[in-house]
Amino acid sequence: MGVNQWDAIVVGTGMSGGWAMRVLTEAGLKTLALDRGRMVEHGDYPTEHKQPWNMPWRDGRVHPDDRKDYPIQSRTYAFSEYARHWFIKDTDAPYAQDQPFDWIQPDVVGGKALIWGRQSYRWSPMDFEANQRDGHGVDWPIRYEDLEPWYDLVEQTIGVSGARDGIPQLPDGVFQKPMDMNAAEKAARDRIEATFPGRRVIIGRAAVLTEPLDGRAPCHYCGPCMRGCSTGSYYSTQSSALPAARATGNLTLLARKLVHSVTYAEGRATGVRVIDMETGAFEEHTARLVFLCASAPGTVRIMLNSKSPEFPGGIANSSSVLGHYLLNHHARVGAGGEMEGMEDRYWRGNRPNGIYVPRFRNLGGDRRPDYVRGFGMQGGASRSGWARGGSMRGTGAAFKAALRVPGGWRIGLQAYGEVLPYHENYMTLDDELTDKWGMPAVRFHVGRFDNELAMRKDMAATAAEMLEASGARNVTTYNNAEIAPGNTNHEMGGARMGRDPRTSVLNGWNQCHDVPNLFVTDGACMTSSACQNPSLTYMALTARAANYAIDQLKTGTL
Amino acid sequence: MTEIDRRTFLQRLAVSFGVVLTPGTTAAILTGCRPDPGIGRQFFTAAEYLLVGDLVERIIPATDTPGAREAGVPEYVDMLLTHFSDDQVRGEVREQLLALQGWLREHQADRIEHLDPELAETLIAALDQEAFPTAEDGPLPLDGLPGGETPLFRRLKPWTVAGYYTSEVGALQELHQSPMGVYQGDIPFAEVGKTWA
Ligand SMILES: Cc1cc2nc3c(=O)[nH]c(=O)nc-3n(C[C@H](O)[C@H](O)[C@H](O)COP(=O)(O)OP(=O)(O)OC[C@H]3O[C@@H](n4cnc5c(N)ncnc54)[C@H](O)[C@@H]3O)c2cc1C
Repeated sequence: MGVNQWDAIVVGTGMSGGWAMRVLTEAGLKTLALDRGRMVEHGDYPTEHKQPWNMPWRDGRVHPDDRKDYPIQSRTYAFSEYARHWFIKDTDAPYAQDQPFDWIQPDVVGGKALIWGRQSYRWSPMDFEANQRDGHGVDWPIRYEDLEPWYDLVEQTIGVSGARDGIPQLPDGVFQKPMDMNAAEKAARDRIEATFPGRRVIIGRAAVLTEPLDGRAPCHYCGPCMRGCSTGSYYSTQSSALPAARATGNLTLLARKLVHSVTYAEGRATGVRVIDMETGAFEEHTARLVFLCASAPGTVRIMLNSKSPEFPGGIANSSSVLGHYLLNHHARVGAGGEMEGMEDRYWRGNRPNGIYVPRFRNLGGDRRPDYVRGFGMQGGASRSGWARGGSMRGTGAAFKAALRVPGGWRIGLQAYGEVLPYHENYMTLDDELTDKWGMPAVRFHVGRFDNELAMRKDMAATAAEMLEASGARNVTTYNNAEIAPGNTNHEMGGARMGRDPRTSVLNGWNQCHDVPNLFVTDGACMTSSACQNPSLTYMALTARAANYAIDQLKTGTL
Repeated sequence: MTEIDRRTFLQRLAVSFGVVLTPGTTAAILTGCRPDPGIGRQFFTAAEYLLVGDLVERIIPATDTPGAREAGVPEYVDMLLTHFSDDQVRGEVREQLLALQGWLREHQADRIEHLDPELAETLIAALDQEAFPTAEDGPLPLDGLPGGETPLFRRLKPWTVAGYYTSEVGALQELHQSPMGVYQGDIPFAEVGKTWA
């Protein structure tokens, strides 16, 4: 093979790209992985375990200058002085917005797998059937059974802790032992489940180890995972996929390479055009297989930018749906309250996980007249600590002594709702705006519609009703509908899977209908959004598609 | 965690799970214990700095553990005013400190510590009441306080609390941090004894 010739190219090294490079290299393919982010080696986590008093601005405050450089990134909860170095400088990579859309983007090898919240839930049979049943969006070309063995594989490989709860709409997986609930969470669970048959409160399922796995240690409960974990206790590209892919000897990973477009000739993708971000020079790489895993909008951006006489509107876009049916989840709606008593109970260690309420609406006998689909809830309880002193009356030794003892318990539930597939939610390339390296920038056109707005009212009311049943007092609700879509971090769609090449970009193997050796396995492929955190599903889809591509290569079909 | 605790923790980890700790990794964990690089007085004048020191020490005094002044809270507040506040907040705080200095002079004192102890306590209680009033409160016990739309303690209190409990003294001496390596969700508070930092 020539210098720039490969068996496979993987664009993006985050949650889905990590899986693509692992499976392809393990099958013996000489694989090139490209990422525009800088290289981060496992252990290269400068703020890990840093004490607040050793931080320049004490405990991770975001400096006003950083808000200027990172006006969008600094809006995610994960952005602070402790994690700023994982995010892209918005001023280097601007994008246009017809309506506000927060696009949270990493700028490192490993992508958002380094920063993610690690909540990991399977989809259920209902989620793959939803479009067909209620007619919103096109039918998924696959069903739960198609993905089930790949969920098994992914969970076993990345390590997911959780309880086997036996909930049909949230299938159990291959779990490591679950983390504990605290006293208030257990009390709330018992009362909520007794009051509302059909609603369950479970411990979160998290890609955080509670048992050793492949040289990775169980969680040591320091707390803030998004700073990086040198014991590899949560799943990231660095902790798991990268060492596995490297061990094969088949991986070449190049950082600071911006993939500009996919090259195309005679019905096939021939490779990628890349901008070297240090020199600004263009490079070409060729391969028999190309996997796009640059995050949903990132992948669609590359595809729209891949123009040829056959595909003037972007590669594999004979259907003209490329860029359309963008999906996300809507959140920032829920309730909080105070739990009385249990002041003799406390915890030890910082649990990087919460509690979860699986979807219960619009299934079984629980039907809503005002919206379709449903939502899940993430939450947790804790006792207030010293911070309550900031708004407390009192001074002197008595004040200090009061804060030496924790305050009462507080509990909160935040809902995450499904967003329907709408043709009107789309992205294009902007006519003028480019990033710092000259690649056309994205323009988002994403709104919220009646189904989501009606669901939000119910989300707030339901969270409050459940907290009241849990015994909480002074329950207050919030419904921050003004927070831009995107801020829930679960952007998907834009190159959806489907059965019909006229209405979808990808087939049931994440393979472009129009260009068989081009695969899209990140969130861009999603045909509907369900309400669960999506990354586990991206990983399972990627593993499945990569294995299919390898088989097709072997049989000579590709 | 002290440096020794962390070393023990890391060794245990390496032995029990075969975790490969590269020198870089270990260094990264241990630098968590490096002493504060130090922040200096940039916003406050020397006199303001003394006054703020007296005020924060009254909010969180030295007891069996050091108080807010020794924990570096005045420098922390200076840092917040220098880097994280706008001109309006800076101006208001400066005016309130000036007014307080005037009030002290009227009571023949340069510093709060020079006031009659009872009067000093009343002054602090009045500043606190002004910022965090309750329904049961009578009128303020003193006249001529700095006042302002945002009373002084409504800012200084949360700043003091955050500065103190995120300092080494506040987190490790006054409170304590959860040990690494364990999570127990539901245990008697008596086994822990204090708020986790
Ligand atoms: C704060 C936060 C919390 C989250 N919590 C959860 C959670 O609890 N559970 C869950 O399931 N999901 C969670 N997510 C979402 C999760 O991170 C994403 O779903 C997942 O990372 C998407 O995987 P991906 O491979 O599509 O993209 P990424 O992981 O973002 O990887 C894409 C990679 O492509 C690179 N790239 C982009 N464009 C180009 C280009 N043109 N050329 C070269 N490289 C490029 C990027 O640098 C990046 O490394 C969270 C996200 C955030 C930000």
